[in-house]
Amino acid sequence: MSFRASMVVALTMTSLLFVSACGGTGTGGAGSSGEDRPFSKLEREARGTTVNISMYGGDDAINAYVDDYVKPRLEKKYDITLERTPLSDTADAVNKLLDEKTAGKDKGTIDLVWINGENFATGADAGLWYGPWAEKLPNAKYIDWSSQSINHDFGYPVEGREAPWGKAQFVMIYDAAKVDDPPKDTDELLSWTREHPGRFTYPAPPDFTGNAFVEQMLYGVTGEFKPFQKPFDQKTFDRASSETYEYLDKLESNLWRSGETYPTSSTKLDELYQNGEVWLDMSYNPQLAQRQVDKGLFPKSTRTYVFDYGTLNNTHYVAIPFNSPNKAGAQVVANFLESPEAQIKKQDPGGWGDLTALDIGKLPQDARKKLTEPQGAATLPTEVLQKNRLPEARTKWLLELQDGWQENVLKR
Amino acid sequence: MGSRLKIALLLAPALVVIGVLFAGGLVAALVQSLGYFPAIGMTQVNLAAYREILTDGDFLNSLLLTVYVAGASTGISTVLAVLAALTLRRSSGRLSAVVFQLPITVPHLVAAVGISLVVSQTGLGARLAAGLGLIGEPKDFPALLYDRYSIGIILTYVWKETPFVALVVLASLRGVAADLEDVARTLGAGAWQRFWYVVFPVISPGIVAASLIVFAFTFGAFEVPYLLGKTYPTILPVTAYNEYRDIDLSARPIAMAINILIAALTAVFAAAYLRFARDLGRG
Repeated sequence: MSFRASMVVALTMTSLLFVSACGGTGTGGAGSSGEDRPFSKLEREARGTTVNISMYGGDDAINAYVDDYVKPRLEKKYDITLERTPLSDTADAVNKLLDEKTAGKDKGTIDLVWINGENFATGADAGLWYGPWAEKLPNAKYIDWSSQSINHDFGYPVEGREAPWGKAQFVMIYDAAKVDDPPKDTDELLSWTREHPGRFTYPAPPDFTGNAFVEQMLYGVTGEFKPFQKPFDQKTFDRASSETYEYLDKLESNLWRSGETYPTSSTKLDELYQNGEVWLDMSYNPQLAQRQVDKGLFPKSTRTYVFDYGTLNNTHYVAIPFNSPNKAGAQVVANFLESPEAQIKKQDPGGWGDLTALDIGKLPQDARKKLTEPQGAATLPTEVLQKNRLPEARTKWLLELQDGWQENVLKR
Repeated sequence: MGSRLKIALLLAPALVVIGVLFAGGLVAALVQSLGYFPAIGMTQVNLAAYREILTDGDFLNSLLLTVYVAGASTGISTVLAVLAALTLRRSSGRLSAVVFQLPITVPHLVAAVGISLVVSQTGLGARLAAGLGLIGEPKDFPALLYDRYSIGIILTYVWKETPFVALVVLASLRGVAADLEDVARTLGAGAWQRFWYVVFPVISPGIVAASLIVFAFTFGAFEVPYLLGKTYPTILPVTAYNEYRDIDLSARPIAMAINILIAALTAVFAAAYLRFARDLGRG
């Protein structure tokens, strides 16, 4: 580990200790007790209130789902006004809460945060989340809380402090008019880029999709994913990551712009694909391709596929901050977000197209049918996705992997 | 005394804004850069962040790139602006006003996006060049964005800053320069002599001031390089931002230390440049 990384880890640990120590004395009361009111009482209390949801705002389709679908229904059904605060990065909200926690500010401004992974883990370590509450929601009965992919968020125990909202799965996208046989594993990808130099690239980590691609390569190159579900271990990491970076280095000279630069975000990569500069694209949203085809942005010959060895999937959630001024309202909103009708609408590729967090087997027949129907030529059937799921590695592995990418691939 | 009080009162609101927002921000950044960040439990004051930055090759790469981008943008804009102002000074005020004031009203962000639409490899320029048969297909267009030489960034700055410098130069040219030049002509001075001995001394304070503003701005500006820059190395303000939004809060001192260094370097460059200009004026 480099000097910088070790210093950073040490500082993080001390800072987290400090913050949690403060939490115990100052504002910890609300955070530790959890929800004990019955849901009917929460509904009554929530009437006529405003719920502030802070969420990543970089995707128009997601914003439209919240503003045009969720918001009016909450207003009508529960007399709740939903205010959406867009974030460019969920870490901004976590930073804000962290500042508020240390300043002893008991009345915050955020009632719900859309979150998962390292942001949830950082916040949980600092005692930023209210709970437990999520397993007591009426609609929690549709969720398989015994599943590892629900009750652990990137390997971190959820313990009822966040409610599953949806699932995402990494997929590859290609243009069937230009590519006959898209590369289905790491070896094929290497030879494909040699045959088609400049026609492939990936977003630079720490972009979310870029991180996922590098992780996907880690699984592919090493041929295993189980070691990375365990707590971080430097020896395993050194061996596995050097193999991965070596592979990515080999890939680099045949990437778009000869790997001299990388797209800074998945949106940029989508634009390159849209303009025909690259022939393969990738997304953590299996419905993205269909959505872009329907909008006329991607060519009609666009198809989605998964690697033969499977692709990453994870769950995303909503959490309630310790200092939310409207915890009752937040839970009513979370419950609505988990309802079959809201989940069916969410999975529509014409809109957001996000996979459901609900367990298909626990749903009534008609809802089940609506969630499993095929949704267009550019999508994959739900069964294919489900059969090819790989779990995300634990956060620490990912952080090391993306830091190392900067040193070993980008800067070389 | 009454008038002094009046001046002080009139200046107070502006000074308060500058004092609180600018000096306050600078002090807060300085404090955090020294590792004092009680919100996450860091209370030890030390120079660790600076030591780390200064011993790190990445910072040097970023610094060189920043100096290069700011220097090239300032140099090119200044030369173009002086040439343009000299050409346009005899024209009617309206034409030069339109030509030069229009780009000034366009935000840098919009300018950057506009430039990228024109010079990207799938952009207007590439398609036009391919259509005219200058290049085989749009993809063969030279890479001007996210490139090693930061051409996209410099182009945007030149487009934005040239009119600014030109307006300042034009203003000083429209003053006494024309009369003095006529006098010089009647005394038999040639075109080059008139420029070098009469016009240039009149406009040089304006050029110095305007180009210094441009340099200081491009040295510390964030949005254009953020949009059009390469993934690595990034110019200093982008490097600082990347550290700032690191998921790990303890990277904050490093981000702040970079910001402090940007401020310090800009001040050093400005002082050196003003001194150089003064010597030039004396010489």
